[in-house]
Amino acid sequence: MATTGGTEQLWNDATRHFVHWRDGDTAAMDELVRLLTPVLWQVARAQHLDEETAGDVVQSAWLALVRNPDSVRDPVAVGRWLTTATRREAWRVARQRGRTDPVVDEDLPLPASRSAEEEATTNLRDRSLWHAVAQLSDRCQRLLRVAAFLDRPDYARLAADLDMPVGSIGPTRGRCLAKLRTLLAANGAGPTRGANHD
Amino acid sequence: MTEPDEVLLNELQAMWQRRDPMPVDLPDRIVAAIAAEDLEFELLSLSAITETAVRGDEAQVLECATDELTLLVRISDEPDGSRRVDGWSEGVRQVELLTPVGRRVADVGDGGRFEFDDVPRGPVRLRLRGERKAFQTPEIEV
Repeated sequence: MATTGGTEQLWNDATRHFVHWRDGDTAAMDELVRLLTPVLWQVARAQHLDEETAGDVVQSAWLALVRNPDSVRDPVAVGRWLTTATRREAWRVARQRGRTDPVVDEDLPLPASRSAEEEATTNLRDRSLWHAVAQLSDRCQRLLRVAAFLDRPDYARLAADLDMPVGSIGPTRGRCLAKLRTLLAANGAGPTRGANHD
Repeated sequence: MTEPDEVLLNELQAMWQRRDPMPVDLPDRIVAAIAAEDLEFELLSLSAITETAVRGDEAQVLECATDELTLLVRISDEPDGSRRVDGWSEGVRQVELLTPVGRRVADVGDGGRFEFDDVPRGPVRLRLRGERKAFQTPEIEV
């Protein structure tokens, strides 16, 4: 899975797989699915859908792509097409059901066990972040989760889905991050991981 | 993006990946769903009804009829030497042309007409989507 810094590489790889698949290489679709599903999962979960529903939403987006590949006019946009399709479908399903319980308020799931000190530190920091995020507005939570996984989110579409003016996405993201920092500081968590803990 | 924002967003990304990871079997589930989607195409058998040479043009006409669809395909030359595929169908709303260099989609017009121009020579297949079912032809040499 890519980090934010590696997102460009992720989209480039996605485009390459998609072009190969359109050219008749069926295995390239498997590669594309394995590459992008982890990101699409996060996009779906940003709408606070339960795990099963989020999985179904991601699957729907893939089937929509396979059924109508020509709706992606430019292969370079396949990643954006899929994230948009996932976000829209997740948004639609969430609205249909009425807003479900925020995922963020649930108890933290236990991570797959690694070892010792590193895990303790990571756990602590994750726990601080998780609880600070949970105190943000619903809009901030969704915006930050999508922003964290997409380097250059399509602001126009994102704005429509979040019911916000396009020009306010960037500033809102900045305010959400500032608010998050304030909450982290208030909870006694350091500004970044790697800071000294004693 | 200012540097601190990027750092914090990266941290959030890592946190969400650890705390709320995708179920490990999700990609397999999706790959299986896509494969099943492909299997749902019923294979058609086409028969040639005529092959004629008119003024040097070579046109090939193929047909297929089942309970759920009828299909007539005419493959002919364009003036520029490339090929074209014209079709008439019933029970079909969208047609996909699979060629060695990619796939193209045509909507089916009034009277069941569809067409693909500028088709490169070589093997192609047609996929046809009806309201409830999808069909696929064997390879046709155009």
